Amino acid sequence: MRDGGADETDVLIIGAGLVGCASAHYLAQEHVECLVVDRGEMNREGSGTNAGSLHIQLRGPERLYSEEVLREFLPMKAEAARGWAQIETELGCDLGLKLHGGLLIAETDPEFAFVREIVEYERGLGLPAETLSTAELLRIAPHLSPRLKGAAYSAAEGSANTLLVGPAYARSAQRAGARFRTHANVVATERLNGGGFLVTTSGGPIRAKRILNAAGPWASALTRMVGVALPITGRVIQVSVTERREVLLDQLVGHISGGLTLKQTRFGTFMIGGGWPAKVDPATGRSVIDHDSVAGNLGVALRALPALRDVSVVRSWTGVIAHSLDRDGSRLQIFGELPGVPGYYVLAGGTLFTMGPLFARLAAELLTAGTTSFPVTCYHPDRFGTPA
Amino acid sequence: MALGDPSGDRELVIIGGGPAGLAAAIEARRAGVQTTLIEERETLGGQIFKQPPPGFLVKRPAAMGADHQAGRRLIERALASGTEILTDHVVWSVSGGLTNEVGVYEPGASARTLRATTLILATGAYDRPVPFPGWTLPGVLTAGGAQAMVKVQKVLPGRRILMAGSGPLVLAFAVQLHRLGANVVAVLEAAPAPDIRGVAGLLAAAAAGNWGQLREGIRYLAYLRAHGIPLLYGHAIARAEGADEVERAVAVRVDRSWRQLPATERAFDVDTVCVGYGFSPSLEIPRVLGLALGYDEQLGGHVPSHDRDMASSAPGVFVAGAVAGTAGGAAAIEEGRIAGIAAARSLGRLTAAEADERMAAPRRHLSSLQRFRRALDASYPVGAGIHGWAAEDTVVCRCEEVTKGEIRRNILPGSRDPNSVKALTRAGMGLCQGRNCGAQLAAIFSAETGRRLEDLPALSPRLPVKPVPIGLIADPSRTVPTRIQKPSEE
Repeated sequence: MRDGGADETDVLIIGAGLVGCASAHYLAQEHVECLVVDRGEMNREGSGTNAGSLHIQLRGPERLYSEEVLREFLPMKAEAARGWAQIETELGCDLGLKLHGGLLIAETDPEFAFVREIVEYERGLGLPAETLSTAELLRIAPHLSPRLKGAAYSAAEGSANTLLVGPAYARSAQRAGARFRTHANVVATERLNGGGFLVTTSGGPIRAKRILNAAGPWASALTRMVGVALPITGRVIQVSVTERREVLLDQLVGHISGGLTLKQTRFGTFMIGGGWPAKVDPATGRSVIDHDSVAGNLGVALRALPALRDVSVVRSWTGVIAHSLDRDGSRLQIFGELPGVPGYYVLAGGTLFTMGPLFARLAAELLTAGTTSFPVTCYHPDRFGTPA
Repeated sequence: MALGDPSGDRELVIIGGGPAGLAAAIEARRAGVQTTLIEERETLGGQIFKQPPPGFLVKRPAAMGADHQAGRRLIERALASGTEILTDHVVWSVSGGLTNEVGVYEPGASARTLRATTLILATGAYDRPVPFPGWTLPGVLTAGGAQAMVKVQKVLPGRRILMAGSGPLVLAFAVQLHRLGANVVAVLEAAPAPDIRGVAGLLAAAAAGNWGQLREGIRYLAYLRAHGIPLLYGHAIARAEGADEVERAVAVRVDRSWRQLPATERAFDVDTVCVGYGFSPSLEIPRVLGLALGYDEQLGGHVPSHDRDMASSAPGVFVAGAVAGTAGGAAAIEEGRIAGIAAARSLGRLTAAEADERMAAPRRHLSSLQRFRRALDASYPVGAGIHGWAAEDTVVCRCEEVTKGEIRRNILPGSRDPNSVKALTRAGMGLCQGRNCGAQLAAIFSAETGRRLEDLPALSPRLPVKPVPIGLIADPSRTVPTRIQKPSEE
């Protein structure tokens, strides 16, 4: 810091979640000076509280993507899968990675018909997936319920430890020269004549040539400081984890109708999520566990894996998941330079655990070369229109 | 004896069937409050008035000691009070707000949710966990754990025993063990020998109606002297050693703030080390409810704040007994009575005047007991050095086997919150959910970052309060509030 003046950096990354930490890593690899700030601790919100599923098959809103979007999105899915397969080598540490495939189970005949439809649809798009009958399913996952009708299977799916991935990127970024400042809340962002920004934080002022906003559900609160609102929001979900058990499950298990992600971690614990909503205490604004959601979530898990009956839950928690509010319901990530605000970039939105490392790599490419190795026009914030 | 609808609403739910909970139930029922008391164990009485498990037939109650008999009387009054008593019921969840919800399950049976207008938390305390090299070896016991063996089952914890701790309970327990035939090799008292000021304070407090307690303490000292059991003031446990179990224990001198002094070690050949450095309140439920906490090293760290009517910071939620940092069964009973009366008043079952009248006697007794407690605390102040007895390779989190060194190495620069270390090391993530390592984790974090212990956020409160089998609480009939989105529906 210059005496009395503002700290200076080329790129200021706002948000020390997975996206911010990974972006710092890839930028620092290219010798770009960067400073990461966060209003709280590192990797604390959605990045550290999501269930760590690596989804490669199309899920929920992704099935609504237009052909145009899919042309850009599908090659990135494949690349993201390749990236996860190498990430422990790349970062040189244990990230709890388990890539033994993923299942989307069906419990009823209509659900199984839908599984077939989905798999056919994905294969038509060139995304490798297959339909498994009950017998085929039980051959690879013998402890799943024999009452299941079958499942969609993708060999590229799996899970990783959300508590470790962001910090591993941060450590690597720090080794390459990136700086981190936690407990520095951005309260104002001023555009400077001649380019660049003066950002006021609770940890002191920062002068930045460029900004990468990686603040997840809070991204729009920050872009509004430079006059642009983004349709991005947060949803409070909850996840539960059990005591350790012998290995009963290799794969990531999801449900074709939603409401379940289930995996056994390398520690032997079962992690159970699936987007069940938490409650918000109106008095304090704190998100709190919803008993009915826990009961419902565990109920779906129990139907999938009956051996969970005697396994104890030791901990449930809530977390905020970001997603965009595209008018067609597609919830696409937001990535690109903010219209009308040169030098201000945004990378935020949903499913950024699976896709975060790849998007971060592309963000580093965009900020260093001005182009990306994959076309990314569909994610651009200009899809919401430019400010008046 | 079920009161009202088994799934329905209660005026008062008391969590914990020790002296505070039982006394609260008696007072609440006396005021006509519809009351349910939940106790995790099969028997009532808590740690102090611990009763033998069902199946143990007590033929001569007098042989079980005065505590047992006092407990028996309290339990009988609570049983006769018309309180709905649920023993062998585990509370796995609580939530506050307009009505309090309490999720309970009966192991091996079923789970249900009770709704209550008011709550009294009488969840007790547990032995303050003190990590030192060797503390995980078989043969190292907490004083509370050892006492439970002796009190209830009349089993000695070992042949050659070293007692290490602070305060009169350690003396009492050493005497109790010796009387039962154990060879107590020595008693280590971390506090320095009482000086004239300490003695004067105790005498003054004793003069205020507490002569019995002081006399008891003096009797213990005399007993130790008469039986040649050395009482080493200013000494603490340095480490326990042995291949597979305790074979040797090493004591060390400590200064006034309990920091170990180099080159003052002294070894004892023992097979058992009993450790009693006070208690830590059981805070799982207060934390999940978001109750305001204070910090007092003497009371075991964080303690729920409360007013003189035992009301916590949350409306309709009261605390009583050891969870509120209170020592001893007598004080716990008085606090329980006050909480029960206050709950009845807040439910409109007593007027303010009636409540005041009923609270007068327990308040008087409590304030006298507190006076003695304060004098004792002044003689045995817990030293901050206690947080520094673990070595670099000492396992601090026993569930996940995380050492002090691993914790130190995972404190991120700029971090203000021990929860971030938990995330990186798994310390505090095991079955006990940080009960055993939370305080030590915070202490290490404090020492490394220079942030004061009382300013650090505690490990985040998480449900369930106690591990709960999935089969008991899962509801397989629910579906997540989202809809199937088909490609063909685009």
